[in-house]
Amino acid sequence: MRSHHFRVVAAFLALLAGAACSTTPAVTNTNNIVRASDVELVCLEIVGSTVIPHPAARCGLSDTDNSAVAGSGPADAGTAGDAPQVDYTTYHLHAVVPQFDRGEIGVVDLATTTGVALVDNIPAVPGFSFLPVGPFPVSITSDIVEGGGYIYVASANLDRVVRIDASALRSNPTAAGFVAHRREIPVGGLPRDVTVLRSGARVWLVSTLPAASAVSFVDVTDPANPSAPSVVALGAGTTSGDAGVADGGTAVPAHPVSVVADTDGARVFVTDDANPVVHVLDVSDPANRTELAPLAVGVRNRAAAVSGNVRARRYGCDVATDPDHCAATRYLFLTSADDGAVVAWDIGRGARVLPNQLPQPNLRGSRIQPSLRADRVALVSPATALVAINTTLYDPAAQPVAESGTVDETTCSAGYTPVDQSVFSGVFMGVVLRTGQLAILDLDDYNVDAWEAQCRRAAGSTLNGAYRFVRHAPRASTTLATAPALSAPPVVSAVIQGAAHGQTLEGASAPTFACGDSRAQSGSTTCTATNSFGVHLPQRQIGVSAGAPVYGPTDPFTSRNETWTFTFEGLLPGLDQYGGAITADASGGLRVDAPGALFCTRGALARDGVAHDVLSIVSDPTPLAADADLCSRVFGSGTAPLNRDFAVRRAFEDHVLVDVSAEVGDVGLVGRCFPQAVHFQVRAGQQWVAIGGVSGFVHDVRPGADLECEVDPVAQAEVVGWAQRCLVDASLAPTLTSLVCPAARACTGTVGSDGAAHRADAPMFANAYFCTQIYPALALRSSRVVAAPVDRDTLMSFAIANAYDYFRTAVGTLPSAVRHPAGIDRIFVVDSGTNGLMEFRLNPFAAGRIFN
Amino acid sequence: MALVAGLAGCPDNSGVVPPIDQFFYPVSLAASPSGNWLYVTSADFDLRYNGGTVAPVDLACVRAAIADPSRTTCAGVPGGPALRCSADRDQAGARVCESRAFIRSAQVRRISPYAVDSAVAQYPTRTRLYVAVRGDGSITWFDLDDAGGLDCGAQGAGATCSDTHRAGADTSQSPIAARLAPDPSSLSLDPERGWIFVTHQSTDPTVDPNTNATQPRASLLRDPASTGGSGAPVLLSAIGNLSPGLSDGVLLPRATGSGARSTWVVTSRSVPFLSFFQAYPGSTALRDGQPFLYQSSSVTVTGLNTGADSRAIVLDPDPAKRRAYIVSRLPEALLTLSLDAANPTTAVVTDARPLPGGPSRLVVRTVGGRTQLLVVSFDARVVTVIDADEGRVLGEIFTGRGPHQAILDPSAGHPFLYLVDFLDAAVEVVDLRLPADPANPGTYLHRVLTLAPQLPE
Repeated sequence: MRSHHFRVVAAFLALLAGAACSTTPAVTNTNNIVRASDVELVCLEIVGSTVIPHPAARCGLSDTDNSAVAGSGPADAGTAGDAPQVDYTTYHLHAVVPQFDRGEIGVVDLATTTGVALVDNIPAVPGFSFLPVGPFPVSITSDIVEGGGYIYVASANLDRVVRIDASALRSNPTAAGFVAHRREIPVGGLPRDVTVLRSGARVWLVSTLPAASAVSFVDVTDPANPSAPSVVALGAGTTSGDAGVADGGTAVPAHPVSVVADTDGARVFVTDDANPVVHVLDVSDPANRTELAPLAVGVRNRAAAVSGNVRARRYGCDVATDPDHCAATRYLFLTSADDGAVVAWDIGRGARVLPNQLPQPNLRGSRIQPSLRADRVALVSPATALVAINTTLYDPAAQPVAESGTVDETTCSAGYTPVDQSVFSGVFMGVVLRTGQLAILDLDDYNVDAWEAQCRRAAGSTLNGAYRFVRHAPRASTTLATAPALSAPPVVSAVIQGAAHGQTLEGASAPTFACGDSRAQSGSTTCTATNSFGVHLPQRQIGVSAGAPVYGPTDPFTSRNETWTFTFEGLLPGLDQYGGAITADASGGLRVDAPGALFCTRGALARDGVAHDVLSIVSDPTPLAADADLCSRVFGSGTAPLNRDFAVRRAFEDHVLVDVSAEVGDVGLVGRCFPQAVHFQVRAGQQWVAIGGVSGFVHDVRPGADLECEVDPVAQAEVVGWAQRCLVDASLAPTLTSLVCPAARACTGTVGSDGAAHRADAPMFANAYFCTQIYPALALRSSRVVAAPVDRDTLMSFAIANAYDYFRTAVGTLPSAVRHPAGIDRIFVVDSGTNGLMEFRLNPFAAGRIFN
Repeated sequence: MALVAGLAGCPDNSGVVPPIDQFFYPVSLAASPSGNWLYVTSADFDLRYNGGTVAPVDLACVRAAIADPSRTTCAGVPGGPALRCSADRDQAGARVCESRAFIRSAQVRRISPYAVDSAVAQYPTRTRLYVAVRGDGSITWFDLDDAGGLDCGAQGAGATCSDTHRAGADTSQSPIAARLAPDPSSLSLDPERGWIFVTHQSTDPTVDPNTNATQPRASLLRDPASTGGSGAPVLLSAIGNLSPGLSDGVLLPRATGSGARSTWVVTSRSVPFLSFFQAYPGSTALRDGQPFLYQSSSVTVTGLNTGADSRAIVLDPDPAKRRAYIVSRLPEALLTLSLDAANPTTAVVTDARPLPGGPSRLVVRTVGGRTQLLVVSFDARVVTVIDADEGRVLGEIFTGRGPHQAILDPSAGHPFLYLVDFLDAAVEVVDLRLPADPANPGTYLHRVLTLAPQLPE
């Protein structure tokens, strides 16, 4: 009795203490899934303790509460005359997630509506326990038919693929009998990727073997007796030029990475991150699997995915992404191993797609990828995984879009019909980026075709859509809530700052963007361009209104939200602070050595008639005491520098030759005052440096013979071509296209004898996004108008807003895989870094659950 | 009574002398070029003692103890205690031995607390060990002999290194009248030129309101031993106004035409930048000016989710591969960097592969013509072995509680990895000997020996 009392009192006190100390419990992220590497989706029917696998298409997820519903697969027809008997609430879609670090696969019940979705395979052990599959699993696939099937897991350091009976995915691996559900299948090497291919009556387990430069085939048609591996060596590549054209270089062994099965079941595509090809293997003959001629895709590649069928284009091929081809087809998409881009191969035509992407965001000169070519879909970073997305409304037969019978010229000429861009309907490609983002590429956006169908201008007239999505180009949108159409024209605003000759003192003494045919000293101009700032987007006629042409931007989806600046004698990016040593050259001139400075690569230039850049020493003199006063008088101090500019006479990749000004005069004095390494900057000489906040510093200087800097004539011709495109008045073309500065620079116009600056005398600045000219600052000198000097670092900037950015959303710190279950408008992304498994809904697009 | 009370009130406050026969918070390893000695630097991280130590470990005896478990003494430690070992409870077939039998305790020297890094340079006439010490803001240096001798101006077991062997601690030692900046974080040497390049993790604010200069975050010393001298290393240059969090540096091969300069590429724990530093020896064409250090360039690490916490960096041993490898914590990944020594500022990340939690250190070696990386993950307590050419994980080596710095055995024919265990006060030895039969790897990629504190009696 006494003991009982004690227990009661103790319990009461403990309760009191607990109540007194009660606070909101801290929620700790347990991170049950660690270093997830891949994911596979399987459909399991769960009835009590019985688990029956079904094809994934039999499972569905409710859009309201994620509960299990019937999938898109063949429904249960029931027996003759009876209603279907299937209870689809027992059909649960599961995600199976290999965990690289632990050598396990985690199973997630995606149809869980309450509680924890992770399956605890060993409930007796605290925490979540998963199924062991061997060291460092890297890839997973499945082969499931009605009533049975398997998942296959490839591991980085195991020359066998582990097969587990799908019906055992929720089982306890320590229980007796589990071993019967697990089998290791030799594949003849160490696999990187694995897939299952059904071809005719045969079922093949296909693995890439990078170290062996081969692909392995195992016949798993009879689950009880998998065949011995048949290893097919892949052909070596060669060091290749563009588009995979061999240049006679040394052979490079194939290095297969990913494998994807063609949906017709007769061939597999194998990526190669050592050669610019995709290997193709024909498996139609079970006894003889042969490598066909590789696809010369032109880039080393890693991940691959085959798209759904896109529909034929009935009109407007010239504005399609792939102007050479408008037929219904499928595409093989590949991630580039070398840069942030995706390339496409038209499987139907058998050719690399050269997207019609001019103008195109992140064209050549992107700050991140300065050499990115325009023959691929540029992304902000390298891609790590791809997935083909065919939404529930996808039409596998790719039927043509019904034409509209409505005459709707108003809507057409207005340019764009708002479409809820958060709705994904049609054929897309999901791309996971190494920066931790997911991007969606449009292949055949059905919503856009719906818009196209409205664009019949008159009965019997030719359909002529004012705008439609460009295939293979990024889906353009700034936010998910905004329609994928232009809600307002791009806005350009301008400011001028940094000029000592401010507009408030003398309006004409500041340079301005040209916006009219001429500009007088009074500052008056006649602005006929699309805005009052003299900057306009390239435009094209999009319709006719009251007999007058209606113009719109060439392609608003190519404009970027960004700020552009023009800086007079601005610093060249990358050469804004560099170190080097000053020495006398053989001719007695001054030479500044800076190995690694990459003067040409960063755009420095010294060519007569083109540009002579300026090298400015930033650091203070470091002379001997005897020279201190002299050096201070000549070169000043840190707060009041003098005579630090040196005109560059010749520029090379690793050094420049500079002239000594008359104020300094003596080469020897420079050496005495700067005997040590100096910090210096390089500025554009008497030119404006043009820099975009997003689309980058696009210069066209290259190291030429003897590594001397020169303008790349091909790239410069491209710049001139842009200038040509800018001109409304074609008669000015011969003049203005000859007045184009080196790319990324703008030159100021001159003043004519009539005291005015004329359009014909102002060099054209043009790039893929906009066009402009800069009129000089003007001053009145003794009744004569002259060009006034412009201060260094005078800055003109303007911002483009309301343009579109392509759709991206955050998916973790190091995403590695992505899957889309057929018939369900969701995608699942695996993040190796922090998040584990992430779910996203497609229609409307929204971030969903995180399983971890 | 009052006298007794007075004595009791004035205790000896010189602190507790650190042990000379074991490690305590060991933080860094360096090996003699001959491969005979391993120098283990203990950091005294919890300030239990009045300093850290540098202890020479008889590597020949370590190897012998692995090969012959019956071995009882170490020949390189005359008069040392007998080996006491027991089975490693966490690793089948491995043993744990008391470290004292392997330490030549008579040559153990005391340094200030909070050592962070160490390195050995072999010069024409001498070999030197440098230890970066945060506690006194110095590069404490030692002349080495191949008998385990450590000369830092002090005599006797556990003796404290003299001031003359603490480079950077006194302004009078430096021609620029400067002390070494606070918080040195890493060392990188260029023995050919005698350069000692030091990074600092100081996050101190602006120190000069007139120039907005911040605390120096990179320093350059030169050791006269590179030209046959015997004097102390001298602090020549220190630069501020740099990105914070400079972490680890690696010396780049000399580019053609720039042989006079040494270039380091340095990672950062705070910003997604790679910084390039050059040591400029002076303008010989005009006058032999004072050598100094400058930041020649920086490269933004792009194509990653932040990439703002990079740790160790190594170059691929095969220059033709033009690659470097970086351990990143944001994200926790191994980064492969395309790095052309002739054009280093064009470096770009070409691959990122996930690593176990808390990756920090990295060792690179060549096995059968292939590049192999061993990445130490402190939090996950593993060393991940990666085939860098294939991007494939070969295995994981499970360690004690606090794996930190690791180095390879420098002598040919002895492929072992030595690993300091910061928390277990131990040095672990991992077997990297390729098995004759791959199907029977034996102890390959396993810990085979641990030099630990005192074992239970």
